[in-house]
Amino acid sequence: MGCAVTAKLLHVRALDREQDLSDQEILSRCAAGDERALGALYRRHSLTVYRFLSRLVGASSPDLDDLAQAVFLVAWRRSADFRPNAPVSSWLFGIAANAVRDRRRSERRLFRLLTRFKENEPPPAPAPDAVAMHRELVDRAGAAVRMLPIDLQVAYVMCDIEEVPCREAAEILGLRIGTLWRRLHDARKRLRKALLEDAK
Amino acid sequence: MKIPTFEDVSRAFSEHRGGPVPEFVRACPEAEALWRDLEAIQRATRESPVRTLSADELVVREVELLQTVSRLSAGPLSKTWTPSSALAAAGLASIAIAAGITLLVVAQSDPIGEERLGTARVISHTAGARYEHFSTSDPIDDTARIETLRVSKGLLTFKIPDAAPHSRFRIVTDDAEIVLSSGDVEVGVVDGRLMKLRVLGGRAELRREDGGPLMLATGNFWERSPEALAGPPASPEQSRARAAEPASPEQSRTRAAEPSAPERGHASEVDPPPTDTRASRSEGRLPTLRGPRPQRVIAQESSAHAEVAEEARATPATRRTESPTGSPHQTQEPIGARGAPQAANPDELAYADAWSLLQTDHPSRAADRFADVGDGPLAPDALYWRGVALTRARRSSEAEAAFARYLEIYPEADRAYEVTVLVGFLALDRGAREDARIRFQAGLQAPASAVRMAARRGLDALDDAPK
Repeated sequence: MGCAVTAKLLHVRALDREQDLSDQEILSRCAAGDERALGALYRRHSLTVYRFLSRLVGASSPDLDDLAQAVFLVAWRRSADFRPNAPVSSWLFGIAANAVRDRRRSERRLFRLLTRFKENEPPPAPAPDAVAMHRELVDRAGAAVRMLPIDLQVAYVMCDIEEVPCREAAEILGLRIGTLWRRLHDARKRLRKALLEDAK
Repeated sequence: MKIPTFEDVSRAFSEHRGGPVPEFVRACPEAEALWRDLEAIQRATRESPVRTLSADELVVREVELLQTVSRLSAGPLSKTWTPSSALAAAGLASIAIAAGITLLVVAQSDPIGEERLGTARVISHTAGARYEHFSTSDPIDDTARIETLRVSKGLLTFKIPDAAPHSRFRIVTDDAEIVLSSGDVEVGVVDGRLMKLRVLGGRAELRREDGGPLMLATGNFWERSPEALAGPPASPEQSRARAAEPASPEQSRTRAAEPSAPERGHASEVDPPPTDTRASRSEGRLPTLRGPRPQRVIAQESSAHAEVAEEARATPATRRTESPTGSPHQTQEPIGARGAPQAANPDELAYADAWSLLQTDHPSRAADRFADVGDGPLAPDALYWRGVALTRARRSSEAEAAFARYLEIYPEADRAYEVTVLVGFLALDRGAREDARIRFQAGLQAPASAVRMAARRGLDALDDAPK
């Protein structure tokens, strides 16, 4: 704990009529360097960003807080670049996807270095009743999504789970719509195989 | 009637989100079953747990964020958030929450001192250069930080001070990652794609999406051929395909002027070590390094140059190279460079030689060459890679000795947990099950998930191995 931080707390007001401001107006203020606007952006979208990141890295991942902070730091720096042809939440998803991709890239190397892979673990035996089976499916679904390659994972979570329209998602991710559809299809196919076919 | 394929159903699923099931799907029981499966998976995924923040947590995290922003705004790439400051702010925030006050933390710029040394700085950049900086915890050691700079465009020179023992630094583009712990590098990026990297001091590892890693030392540089700008990053297959095509005159000129890395052996393309997974599992042996990638891929897809001692002393004119973008500033001495690059010292040469040997599938000689690296800043890495090379050369007892020495000398090193797990695998191979189990169990405590997973795999292998 050797880092001495000189900080002072200032009592300041939140942005005037913050609730009346649109996301775009908040981002404009971020672009102008108003840190209160970043706070407003955070309060408005942090839960959505955490939810999205949870789908990609797991709800209990120790990286989650760092990633969420990274997303808003990037949003802060890039706020001037935001174009209002997509909702801010989708734009934040795109930033979050990049942050996770960066993290994965460094972890992948380490993983390759260390692991003796096993092929996919055999699925556990199905539970005896429908409720238990559904609970098990829910547990396995989250894990199966996280096992997808990052590009498929992002496409699936963004479009099928967060319901970002495909065209909007393609634009944010810098993809052609056909490429996005292909990724979505591949993701669904793999998930179906992992979750349903193997269990049958 | 044509039976819809999975792809047809999937496409319809994208297009009819939330709407009724399309007629062509309802008309076919198999297609309808697929549709229901997709809905079930979607529902299950939505129900899987996500992280939520309580109101208090939300405020604390917001304070952390704002404090970090204040710090970043205080100067070019200044310090990042630290645990102690987080605790301090959390405490203050709690008081504030209790008082019902909306707070904003405004951090004063810390005095320039030792803490600043752990942080990279931008020495220079071209007009319009774009980059973002953020900091995350190190997956190996959660007390350490990894600073990441995502560069979108421009020519930038970064300096990473030597005294940053608990930080690692990454420069990331859309298609590459540069990892270094100290030194000076110049990076050229166009449209998010890395076009050039020059190491002005220290060492850097370049990892590309379209090729294997490259180790570059002082004076080395790498650049992408101008043609590569024309299209998206090439897949390895595309790269191989291009290798068969005749080189353009410009490329030929570049290669003639500057021999490629394999000829010089100072910018080494290596595959990251292990894993030959299936073979190693089925044969119950240690993971092995894979063979080197074909060097012709490098020569055609990009130019990897090594400017060693002789070139380092040459005049700027003789070291001129083709500019990837043709802009004049890229053929001049790098902004911020302190004279000509320094000649590589004997340790760096030994290290680079060892890398080349490892790359060219001479692990035993590589191990011996790594042993020539003296007690300088390269010593920890050299000892680690000596252990890896010995492992691959099947000199297992020596490998264990090298790793044991590593753990003895550098018990707090980033790689200590990795090495522990690797020793576990070596112990398993020689039948020392209890020793292996202890190592793997220790590996379960690693901060990095990949290391923990490797340790779990080791424990699984232990259970599977004949007693």
